[in-house]
Amino acid sequence: MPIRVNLDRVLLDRRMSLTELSERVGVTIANLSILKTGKAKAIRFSTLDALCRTLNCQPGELLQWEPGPPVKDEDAEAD
Amino acid sequence: MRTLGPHSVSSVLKIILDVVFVLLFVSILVLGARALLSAAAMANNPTAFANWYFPHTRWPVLATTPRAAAALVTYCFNILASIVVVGRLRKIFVTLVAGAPFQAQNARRLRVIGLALMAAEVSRLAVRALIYGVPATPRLWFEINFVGWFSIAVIFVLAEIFEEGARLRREAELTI
Repeated sequence: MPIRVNLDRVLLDRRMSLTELSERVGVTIANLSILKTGKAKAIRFSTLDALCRTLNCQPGELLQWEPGPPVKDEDAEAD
Repeated sequence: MRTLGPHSVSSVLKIILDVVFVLLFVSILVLGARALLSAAAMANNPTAFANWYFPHTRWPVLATTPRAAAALVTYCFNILASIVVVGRLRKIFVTLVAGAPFQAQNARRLRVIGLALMAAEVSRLAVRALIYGVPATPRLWFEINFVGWFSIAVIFVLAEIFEEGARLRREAELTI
């Protein structure tokens, strides 16, 4: 996945657990796990706003683009 | 009354489909038995059973003429197609009662329903050609059920709509 989510690194810098982040942001731990493992297909601006506000960071610190093959359409793979 | 979910219109229709499914199975067993007995009668002594009729009707008990046999086979085929259609509809309605209609399996089920209806319609035309012979071209147009074929096309379009709905649902699930 070309877009890498650096949530683990930011949580470590802020000395915050995933559970605490989940409670403060209002996103379930399962969804945060999906986000940090790169399985998410999209992130809402409202979620990004809540994460940046809670972690006191910029979106660029959470999201990083890495060169690589473009993301394939999941539906084509499913068919 | 809600359309989706438990205790909704979908749950009532699901019950109706369950009853129809059972009746179709009973019908195919009865027709299948009649077809087997007719085949045995035709192989041994077709004229012996030619005058057997259901009480107060002109329906022969056994199909001992080629045309009657062709019609019986087509009725069996139509009921088999109906079993396929109703069976798939039951599975679709299970997802409707669960409140999650947009699944890729429902798109596949709708395509199977469309194909079963196409097969039933083609077999209907085939048996009419067998029984009455291939009619002259102007009369043929009255044999084709245009509303039926249009409905079949609509079912295939609905399948694509459900496919797109399933894709949007998958995307929404993975949007944090």
